[in-house]
Amino acid sequence: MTQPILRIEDLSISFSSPDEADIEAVRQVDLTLTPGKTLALVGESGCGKSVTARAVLRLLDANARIPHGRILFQPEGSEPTDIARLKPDSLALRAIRGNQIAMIFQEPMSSLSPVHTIGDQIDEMVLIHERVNRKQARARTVALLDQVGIPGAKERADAYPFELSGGLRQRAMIAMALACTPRLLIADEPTTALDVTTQAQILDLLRQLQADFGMAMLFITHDLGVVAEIADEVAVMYLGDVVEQGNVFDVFRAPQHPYTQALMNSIPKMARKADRVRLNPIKGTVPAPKDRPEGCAFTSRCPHAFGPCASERPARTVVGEGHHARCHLLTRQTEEALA
Amino acid sequence: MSTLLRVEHVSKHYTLSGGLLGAERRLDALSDINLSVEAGETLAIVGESGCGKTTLGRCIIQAQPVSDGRVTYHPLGGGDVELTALNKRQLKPWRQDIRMIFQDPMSSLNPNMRVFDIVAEPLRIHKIAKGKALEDKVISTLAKVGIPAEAVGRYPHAFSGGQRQRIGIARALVLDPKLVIADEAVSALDVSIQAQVLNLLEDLKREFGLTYIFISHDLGVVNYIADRVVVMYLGHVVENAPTEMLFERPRHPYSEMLLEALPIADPLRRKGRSTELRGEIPYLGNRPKGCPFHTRCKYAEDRCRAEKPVLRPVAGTAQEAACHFAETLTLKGAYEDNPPQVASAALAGAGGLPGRAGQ
Ligand SMILES: Nc1ncnc2c1ncn2[C@@H]1O[C@H](COP(=O)(O)OP(=O)(O)OP(=O)(O)O)[C@@H](O)[C@H]1O
Ligand SMILES: Nc1ncnc2c1ncn2[C@@H]1O[C@H](COP(=O)(O)OP(=O)(O)OP(=O)(O)O)[C@@H](O)[C@H]1O
Ligand code: SF4
Ligand code: SF4
Ligand SMILES: [Mg+2]
Ligand SMILES: [Mg+2]
Repeated sequence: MTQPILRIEDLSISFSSPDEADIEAVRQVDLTLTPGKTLALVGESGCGKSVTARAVLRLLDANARIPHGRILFQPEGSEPTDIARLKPDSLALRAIRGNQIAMIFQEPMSSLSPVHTIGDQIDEMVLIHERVNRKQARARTVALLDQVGIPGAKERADAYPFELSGGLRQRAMIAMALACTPRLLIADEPTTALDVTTQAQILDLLRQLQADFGMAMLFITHDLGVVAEIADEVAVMYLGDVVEQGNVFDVFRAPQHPYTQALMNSIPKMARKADRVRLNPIKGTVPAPKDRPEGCAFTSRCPHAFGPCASERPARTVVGEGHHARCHLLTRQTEEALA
Repeated sequence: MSTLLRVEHVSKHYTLSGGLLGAERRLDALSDINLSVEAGETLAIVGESGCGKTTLGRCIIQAQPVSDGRVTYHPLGGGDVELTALNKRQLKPWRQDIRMIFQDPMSSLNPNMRVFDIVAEPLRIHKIAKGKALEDKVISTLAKVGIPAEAVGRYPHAFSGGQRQRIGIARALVLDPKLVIADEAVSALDVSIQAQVLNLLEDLKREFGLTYIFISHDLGVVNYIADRVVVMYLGHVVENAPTEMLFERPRHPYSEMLLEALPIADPLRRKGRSTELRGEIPYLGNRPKGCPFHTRCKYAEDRCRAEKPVLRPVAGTAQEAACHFAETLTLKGAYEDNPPQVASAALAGAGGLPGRAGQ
């Protein structure tokens, strides 16, 4: 088996705030990423996906802390580095960021400079990573823009971000992330702003790059259709905890955690009006991190909650090859089977 | 039903500077758009990235001037208000009725304002409430979209993407508008919260007769929420149809392409390399002659390259399409139990269906 390129172990992240108690946005995250493979990270809005992703590059807000956990980055042929222990602005981290690990951010406007053309911004990236002159850099930029499907790439390189539609901006962001051919690409909702045909193109493109360069990918999305299309593995998060990780086929066929099961059931069906039912979201609302039960975070909404759920943290249980879940039901069943 | 909004012959072009040496160029973002929105309906606008959906929304609320054409609002109490003829001051009262939820929440929420003030601002501008009443209204509107009261003192950056999107929704709904233009308003939300927000929008519609223009690329959501769908391609309306008819049997090849590209939440039915990569998306500043879709259309014939089809009713249906062959093409819909369509022999014989084999 290929050695993992990134292992996140028991990670937690909290934010301090002037007029609220500390917010433990991420409580218990374990994730494993392998070269050449795509891990999709899914979960409810606000459950901590983006914060987890930004922690890998240590691009968290100033009020964030990492109370415990490890983020082990180990490209082929080198020793593991614990990113959680590096200083956010250290040389070691800067060598990793953008060079070995690149990120596509959820909202393109917040990461593109409004006062420079997209061509200039991508040229800059190319110049940092490759020994080329300006003219060659621009040629590479145009090729990248073309590759991500921006029509009229040569002219569009001279456009400012505000002159581009949401989807074109997103594609410019992707081109920028690919400029350094990273070993690990973190893509935070990269196709959310895109229509289905463009989305299909981008997914193809990412798959292609992965096949060509053996890049590992952490793909954050809430669209289970996209997950089914692109992922090798899926990790499901709920309110700061990774509750399940496994092979995409196993997780879709036989989800083990009640939250994953509920998620799979709330996909809108392509049905005619007459057959349409009011969408059936998971009962109740996500509690704020401060109201999170000490035990399983899903207790307040779980239809199966019982004795230990509210107070005891469920253990990470193996439910199949490379398939784990955290739910007391899983251990209860084995205990009962043993008794 | 009465018509609430009418868009007539609206065009919008941008002038692009041609870099250091190049000459200025014109980019036609919207070409002669005609559509009307009935009171109480949900009209969805779908189409490829860059086809002009946001531009159309911004032209309707007059966030930017149209280059040509008219937008007329018919308030429920009667009368015609030609929005495109009003100046800023005259527009102000109507801005309360017509609200837009912007696509990119990060760029539309002021980063230096607390969330409470972001949502309170429209109430203050329009002098609708103050003091305790204002506070209650803001808190209850935020609660409806799932933002808890204790978080209202935070700044936008301290929220997740989906939470910011919901703050944008609250800001639009807080004025109790009549017409809401929702630009990709639920695209960053997971299925469960998306369902809550969609249910909320439906409830408001039922309770207060709200009308929506719902811009989205998520056809699953569109099928669920829309009464009618307008499909846009390169600044044109190419199809306008009741939702169910569009999903049952689209009448424009581009609509079919969109439905076909829909990802299915089942890894065993993975589509792999999509067949839809065929053909270039033309650059708006460089639009082809004839039918704007002919460079990618698998049914294109000589006539398509020469003659531009106009949007017209398709005989025998309640659909409108801009395709020369809207009546005769048998296009594939999206409902899961759709019987497999047999392509017409004439087209298959003409080799008109590349990429179809092996599906
Ligand atoms: N700087 C901050 N200060 C306080 N809380 C924060 C800060 N940044 C994020 N949070 C909180 O951390 C939680 C996790 O946010 P995150 O952005 O990771 O969510 P997400 O899973 O990416 O959601 P979405 O799908 O909506 O993008 C949220 O509840 C958010 O409000
Ligand atoms: N201020 C501007 N200056 C120049 N061109 C612009 C400007 N705003 C938009 N455009 C161009 O007009 C076209 C339509 O843009 P618009 O934002 O309406 O697309 P859209 O359909 O909303 O796409 P998306 O789904 O990606 O949001 C695009 O080609 C865009 O680049
Ligand atoms: S541990 Fe308990 S509350 Fe949590 S998912 Fe399992 S059964 Fe439900
Ligand atoms: S007019 Fe011709 S090119 Fe245009 S959509 Fe119809 S068949 Fe295709
Ligand atoms: Mg996020
Ligand atoms: Mg848009």
